[in-house]
Amino acid sequence: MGTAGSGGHPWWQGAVIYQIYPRSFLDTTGNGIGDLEGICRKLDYVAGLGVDAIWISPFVRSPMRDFGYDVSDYRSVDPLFGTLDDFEALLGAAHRRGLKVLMDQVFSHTSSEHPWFLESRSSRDNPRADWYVWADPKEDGTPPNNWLSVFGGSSWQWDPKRGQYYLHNFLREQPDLNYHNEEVQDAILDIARYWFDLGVDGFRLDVCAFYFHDRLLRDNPANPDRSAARHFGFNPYSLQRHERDIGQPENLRFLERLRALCDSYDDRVLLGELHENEGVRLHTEYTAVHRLQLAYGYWLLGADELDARTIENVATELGHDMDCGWPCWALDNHDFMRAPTRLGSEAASGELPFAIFAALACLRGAVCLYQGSELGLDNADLPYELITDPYGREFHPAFSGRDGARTPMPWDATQQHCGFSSVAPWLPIPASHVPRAVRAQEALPGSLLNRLKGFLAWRRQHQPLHRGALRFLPSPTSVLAFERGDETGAVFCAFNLAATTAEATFDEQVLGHALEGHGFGGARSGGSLTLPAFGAYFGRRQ
Amino acid sequence: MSRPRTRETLLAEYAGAPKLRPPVAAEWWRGAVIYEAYVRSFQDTNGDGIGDLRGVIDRLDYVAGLGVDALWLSPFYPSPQKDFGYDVTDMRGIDPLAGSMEDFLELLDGAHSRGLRLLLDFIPAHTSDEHPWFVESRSSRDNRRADWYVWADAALDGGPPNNWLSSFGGSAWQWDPRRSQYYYHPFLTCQPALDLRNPPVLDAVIGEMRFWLDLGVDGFRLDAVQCLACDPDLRSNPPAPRSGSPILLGGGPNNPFRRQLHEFDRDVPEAIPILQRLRDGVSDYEPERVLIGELADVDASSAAEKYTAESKGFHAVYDFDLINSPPEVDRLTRMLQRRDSQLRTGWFYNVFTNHDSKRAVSNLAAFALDAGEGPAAARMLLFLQLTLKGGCAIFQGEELGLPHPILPREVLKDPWGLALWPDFEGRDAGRTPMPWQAEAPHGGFTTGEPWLPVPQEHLKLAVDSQETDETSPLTFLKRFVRWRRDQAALKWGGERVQPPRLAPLLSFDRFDDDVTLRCVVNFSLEDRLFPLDAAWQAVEAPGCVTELGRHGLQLPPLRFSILRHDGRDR
Repeated sequence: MGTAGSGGHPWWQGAVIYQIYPRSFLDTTGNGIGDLEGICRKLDYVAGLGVDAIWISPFVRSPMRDFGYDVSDYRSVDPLFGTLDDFEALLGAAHRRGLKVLMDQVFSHTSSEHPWFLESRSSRDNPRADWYVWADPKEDGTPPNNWLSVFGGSSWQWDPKRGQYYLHNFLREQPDLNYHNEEVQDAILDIARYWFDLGVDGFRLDVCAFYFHDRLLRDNPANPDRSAARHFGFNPYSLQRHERDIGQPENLRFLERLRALCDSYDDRVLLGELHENEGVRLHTEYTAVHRLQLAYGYWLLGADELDARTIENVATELGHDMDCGWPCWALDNHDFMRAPTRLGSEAASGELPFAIFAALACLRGAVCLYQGSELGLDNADLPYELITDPYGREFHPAFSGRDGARTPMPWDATQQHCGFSSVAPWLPIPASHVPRAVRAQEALPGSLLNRLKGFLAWRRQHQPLHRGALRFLPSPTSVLAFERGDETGAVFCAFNLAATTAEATFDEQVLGHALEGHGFGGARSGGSLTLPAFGAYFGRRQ
Repeated sequence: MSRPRTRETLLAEYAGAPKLRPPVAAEWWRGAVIYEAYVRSFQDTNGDGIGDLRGVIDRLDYVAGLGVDALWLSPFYPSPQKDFGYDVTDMRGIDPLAGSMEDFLELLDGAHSRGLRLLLDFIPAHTSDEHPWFVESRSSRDNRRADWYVWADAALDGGPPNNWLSSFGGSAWQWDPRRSQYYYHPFLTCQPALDLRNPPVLDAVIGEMRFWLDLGVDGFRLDAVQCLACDPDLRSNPPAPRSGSPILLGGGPNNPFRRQLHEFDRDVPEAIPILQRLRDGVSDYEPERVLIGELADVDASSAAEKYTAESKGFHAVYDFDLINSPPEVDRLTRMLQRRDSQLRTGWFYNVFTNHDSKRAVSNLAAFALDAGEGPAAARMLLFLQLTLKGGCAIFQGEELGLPHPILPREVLKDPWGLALWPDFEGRDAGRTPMPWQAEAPHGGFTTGEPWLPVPQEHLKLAVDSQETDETSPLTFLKRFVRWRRDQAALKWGGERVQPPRLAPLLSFDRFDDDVTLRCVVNFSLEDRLFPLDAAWQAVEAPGCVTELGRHGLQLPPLRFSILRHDGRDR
């Protein structure tokens, strides 16, 4: 199994989780859209990266208004992606290669075409009338409060038949489930049980702070911190403090129910997605004992620039307890602009994101690797006509949405559509991705892909990097320096996140003996380190 | 020297009736009958299932044969068709779906050569969001047209600046990420409101109108004039009282739009100088060009006067009072009374059905339709429409007495209906294609697949089968319109509505200095007696009951009559 530690430590501590966006991984049916069979065919590639698990973005039945994050049937595979048999085959094939499989579970809301919602909206007194969040209009006909949708406009949609509004934190085609209703919780837990029974190793929980809303439907206060509005200034959502619509205290009890179910199986894991606001507080609460094992926030995903101190500060704030509070680091995923583009011109070559990824992989926690990041892919710049993401279509041109990070994997530049599909794919493969295709990088010893594989293989040999305690060390501005230690000893790490050579001095004892084989080229002379641009030094002491 | 006032004049003044004006030929629009062609559904000639200008040309003889004074064409300007042409991207062009400018000029000449005036549907207060003006306006906060539309900052909490709702559902404010501001749209999101209080904008709009007037168009039906302006301070509307809005509003009984009193987003005082400038901007044409404003979402009975007083603003407005009227005769009568009493020097058009409404036969006379008396009900409503005070706008198919079909959800196209279904079914059912031939596929409307189905029940009411039927609504309309041409009292005269206690009879007098015409309609399925004294004589008008009994007028179900006596009043 792809576990790190010995002695029965949970496999997910220090795990590298490879995220697959199935729509864009590999198309085997010739419809321009990736599928489960495509994932199956590339499992050797994935296992060859040296990762421990895969997280597959949603593949269950959906009208695809939000590309699978709008589920109309939680228990069947969408025909676009294949069948349940295909999934079971994939699961078995992954397990045979020592890969764990995490499913993306979208529990906060359903599709408006889910039978639950069709029933709920049909009247005010059907058995599922209260399964979603319904409310009468205000006296003047407007929505019950000031809550806004992440994807634009009020988060309340009028339903003419019931003569009431329903809540949707995202698209109006994504009505929010009412978790104050225990029946809803039970129904969701049944779905979790269904997939656990099938052998799935865990869930990535989509927007898991959005499950509950304030029962009294109180307004959110305005956000006095207009600096937060700068990053998402295109979106009025940033002008509120989301104190009432999301992140409610009742959620903790439900997460505990979900964890209890999870714990009734062997070594399954729950990985929660946290949102922008109050990520640290939520992380502390949500990853406490008996809740989620792992969670990720947008600290790095949302950042337009990243330096050593930012990463150190976030990691410090998240705390270092051994039995709880485990972060899942993520620099890239399907919701954010790819790091080589996002982090500015210095990141364009892919060296900086790779160094950051390596640093994250050495920090305490687990780490996600989003498909294509191992190739150093930049973000696709798509014209409006090609944008399919409803979030991007709403806020274009101030924000172009998430399609730029979702273009298909370039496998082989010598094949049509880079080997992704025999027909034109649902999103185009940008020209800049072609020279970075998998096959070309595999053949090139110094390629990012090969360096990443080498690094992950090297990392695997050092148990403290998986589970060891974390201690930061004072270092120059551009350098991130820390030590991981457990009963087997300690590993010292220093990363230079700048494009110029950095010098740093440490206690010789701390530096230990220099480790080789990681591919980051740092050199030591006594207590002095010389770190090349985006380079690193690793040392070991017993 | 004014001549001494007669007792009749004094009484009329005491009762609040306006001074009667003598007929003036130039004021043809007062008593006119206007035929509305919804171009998209009138006649398709290129097989794409959508009506076109050439189709209207082909049917000009038909329209002229109805005897009407003018033809009003629904919008045919270039448009993304999100609201089927009421979202315009170029106010001077022709949408390729409708045809070409050559087609239009041929249509204009063809109408004029048949003695028909041509009115265009003009949308002064909003454009499509794809109109170049809006594309520029939304591009930044400091471009040349930055203030051509109604822009506002977000409220502190990021929400829209006030509580205004779109009558088509949802907030009337849409966020624009380019400017990080909201823009105002009283209807669809893709229909941003122009800021006509801004003089260059109003000048530009007048310029677009003059383009068509220069070509020889006789006037405009102006869309949604209740939205010429909104409150400059963007004050929130108060909620409607619990008893409901006093105004009849569309969009279904649950529409949140009904829960507000539209004090600040509809019919605001700032509209009046705008409409006067619109009028002044086109008043130099000879002969005079006509402006008829569509007034919706407001208490039209009271608002009509200020929009048309002394003929200084619009020549007339047309409203939705008759369209939205409850079918009970006493309530209808009371509404007519109120309408008449509020209008003093202004003018309005009577509209029972249009492209935005339910067809009147199914609304006001559903009881008759249910009893298989659709044609009789249609004749009765046409009679009413042609005898009530005001101009008359007939919507295509009304002359056939078409009932309002029920369309399945799958065929609906109207974004308003799609937003509010099933509480409100939208406007598609009133827009189904014109049935020309009972035996032809799709009623002869198209050789292709029509954009909306031609309802089966409309085929037997097609034009060709009614033309040969002496008793059909179509034949009645043609004859009655011809007869009415010489009835000055009907076209220009005053009106006095008889009390609602006569229900289910509805009666009103139309009078001028020479004659009083008493119109009586039996709005029921039973014979009714209308008592009359010997001073009244029955008028030999097409379709009217002319026999008087000893005790008065005996009216069979759904029949009507006109009685007269000399002189203005009794």
